[in-house]
Amino acid sequence: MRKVRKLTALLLAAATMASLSACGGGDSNGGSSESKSKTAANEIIMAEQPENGEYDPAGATAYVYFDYQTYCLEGLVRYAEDGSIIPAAASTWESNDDATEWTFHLREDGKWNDGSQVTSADFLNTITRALDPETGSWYVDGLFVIKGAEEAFNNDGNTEGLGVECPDDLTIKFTLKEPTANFLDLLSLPVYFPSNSKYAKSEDPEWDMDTTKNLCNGPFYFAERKAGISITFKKNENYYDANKINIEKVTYKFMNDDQAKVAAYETGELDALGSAPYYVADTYAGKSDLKQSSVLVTNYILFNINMEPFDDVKVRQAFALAVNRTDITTAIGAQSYIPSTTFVAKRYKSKVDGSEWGDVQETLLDENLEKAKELLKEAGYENGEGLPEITYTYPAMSYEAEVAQVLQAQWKELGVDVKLQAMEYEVYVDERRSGKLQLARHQWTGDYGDPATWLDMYREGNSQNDIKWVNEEYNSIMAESAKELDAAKRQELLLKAEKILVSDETVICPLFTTDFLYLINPDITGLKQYSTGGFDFRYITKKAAE
Amino acid sequence: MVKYIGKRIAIGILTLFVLVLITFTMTKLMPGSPLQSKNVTGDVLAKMEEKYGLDKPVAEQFLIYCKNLLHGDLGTSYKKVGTDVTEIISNTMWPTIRLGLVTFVLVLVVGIPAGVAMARAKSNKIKGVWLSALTLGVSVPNFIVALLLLILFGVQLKLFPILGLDTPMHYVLPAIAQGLYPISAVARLTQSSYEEVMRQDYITMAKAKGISGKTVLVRHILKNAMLPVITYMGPMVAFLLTGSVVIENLYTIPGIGKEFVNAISNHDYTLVMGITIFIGAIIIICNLLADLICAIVDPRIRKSL
Repeated sequence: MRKVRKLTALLLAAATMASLSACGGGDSNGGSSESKSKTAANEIIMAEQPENGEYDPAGATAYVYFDYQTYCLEGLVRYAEDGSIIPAAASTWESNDDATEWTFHLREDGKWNDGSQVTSADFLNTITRALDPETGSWYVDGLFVIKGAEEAFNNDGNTEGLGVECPDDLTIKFTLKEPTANFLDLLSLPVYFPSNSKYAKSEDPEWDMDTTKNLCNGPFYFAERKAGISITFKKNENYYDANKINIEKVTYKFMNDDQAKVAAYETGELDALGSAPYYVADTYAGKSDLKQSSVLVTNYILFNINMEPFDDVKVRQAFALAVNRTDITTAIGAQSYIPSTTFVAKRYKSKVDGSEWGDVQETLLDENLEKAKELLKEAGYENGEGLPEITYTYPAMSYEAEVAQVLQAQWKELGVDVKLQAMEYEVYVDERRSGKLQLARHQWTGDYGDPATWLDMYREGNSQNDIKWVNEEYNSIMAESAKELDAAKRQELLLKAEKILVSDETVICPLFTTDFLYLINPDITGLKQYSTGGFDFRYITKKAAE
Repeated sequence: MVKYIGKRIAIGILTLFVLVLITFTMTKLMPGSPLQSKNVTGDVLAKMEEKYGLDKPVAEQFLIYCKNLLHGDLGTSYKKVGTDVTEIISNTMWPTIRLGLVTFVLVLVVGIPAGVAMARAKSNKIKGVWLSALTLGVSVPNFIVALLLLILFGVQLKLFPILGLDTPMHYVLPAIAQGLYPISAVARLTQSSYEEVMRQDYITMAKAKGISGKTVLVRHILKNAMLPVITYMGPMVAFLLTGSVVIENLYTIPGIGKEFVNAISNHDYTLVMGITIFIGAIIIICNLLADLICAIVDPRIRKSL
């Protein structure tokens, strides 16, 4: 009997110790020791969120699609590590002087994984399918810069008069509605990627799930899909640069639970973990597994200029100047969240010299409580007296409640009592988009690597301009920048526009940008970083498991 | 008997219909559009709502849904674009069912003998220890057991794999985690029911007639003692076959429980409805089967029908 009790006590103690060391320990024998891979040398296994969307550039392109696009497809051009644009499926291109006509010449050795030639018709195939509303493309508005594209979409996909021509198999020419200096950046949107015209047809809506029909022109091909479980890409021997690819197989397992992901990384069942939970910053501190990479995202406050009291620029500025960004990022994890006063993501790399946007742009908003109080007084609300009820709305997810509470405390110091309101994400988006929120949290991740992905949002008539802000000077600078082909001159214009939006008119108040934490097996070498954030695993080498 | 089965099936179908009606109404009451997403705006959103029939009046949407349901068509998922709900359910139900069956066998093999052993134990001390262990098994939530097993036997000792259900070894930890509660409950139920039957006059009678101990155990004691256990099995099997969200998430099992919760948080109305109907049907069928087995085992129940 005593023995039984002792044994039970021992087992319980062992279990408790084990769980404690795994949860919080930095001990090298604990759960956070460097991972040893269990997978083969020529393959890597990673985790992705639960499967969603399609594997069709003209379809519902959720995050899983982007894994597929990264490994399996190649667009006309791509970003180099320093953010510059380099040839990919197109070897050369040219545009006319006002950037309204762009012609691309495809490379002769561009092949699909079945060995057939990649042609201009394959690029046109994605565009025409995307313009058919039946296809349900998520990025179809990225095509609306092309002449006749918006009309085609609103006319049930009838592409008569569309400004895309294929004079021969290896040439594709785009005629745009208006000058678009950043057209090359737009080419990183899914709708500009090719889909094989032999198999990718509207009549066969399931083609993309069938790996024998979903042909690929990238360094890997779509080898296997286990619905809801995993997707596997294998090296494409017909890729023109195949000799630079060292691994044979890449698998993404669909996982939801953070603890499960970290545990699977620790057992070696996963080789790498992207967007790892924040606590790995502590458990893996000082270990070579832990890596960090930027995300092109800005979290900000959106003032509703059509509602009192934010119709007064002084009130908006008072609220913005009362914000202390470091307090916010400290509350939610200083390693992953970095204070920022720019709307364009702070870590975005300038096309002029590769430096970060946060360094190129001046500090757009001071953190000055006294000045904030002064501005509020000038607006006629000394110490917040006379202000209507103010509500800050945020989606009920991740760290948003903490951010809201810190902001509430900071505005309290300004003399204003702000009510907090959490909403379910879809409801919050719905309310924000219909202009019903007085003061709201907002976040924008760049769709492509150019400041216009952020700054275009607040141009007159843009569908993302939720508060319908109209500023003639801003609009004309943005229109001018769209025509400017000289990178340095264009950057000056964009910097000026951003200053109007944030400093002069303070329609928005940027708060912070985000870095993702990664756990990557130290046996993996040759990692590169994308200029748009994140790690590039395509050219890696992996040591064999012991 | 046939009349009884027919009546139970009719009640089951009516229950399912009420379930469909309530779930449909509730999903429509949820604010926000299921297609609301940062990449779908203005005209594109309107076109997509039209495509999914979301622009029609709610009553019409319900009628269309019921009509399709009769044809076995549960609709298309809003969030897993282009994927049929029936396809998602058939993909996700098998991992859950496989794990559920393994757990079920574990519950039978461990739970019933444990209950019998406990009832037959002479020493009160041993009974006390058993009882404490079973109480612990019933009271510790399965997510704690699942996490503890994962950390101890998966991460620390590296004895069992923890990702998916690829090999038989993958089943060990999730099945134990999922099975601990039903094992304890079945053992406890078997014990009390067994003790109750042991006290009955017909057992004393059977023993007095000189029937062998084994026959008394199997034919007289177990057969009668199993009735409450069988009744409990109905909801238990339904519980095992509909999956545990926590265990499926933690051990990355692409099962239906995990899918259900994802569907709710994604506002994927059609998927929520589809899985609700599926789970509802399983619960109704399992309860019906449990009642039928009871009727077969116990002539008294059969006669009262």
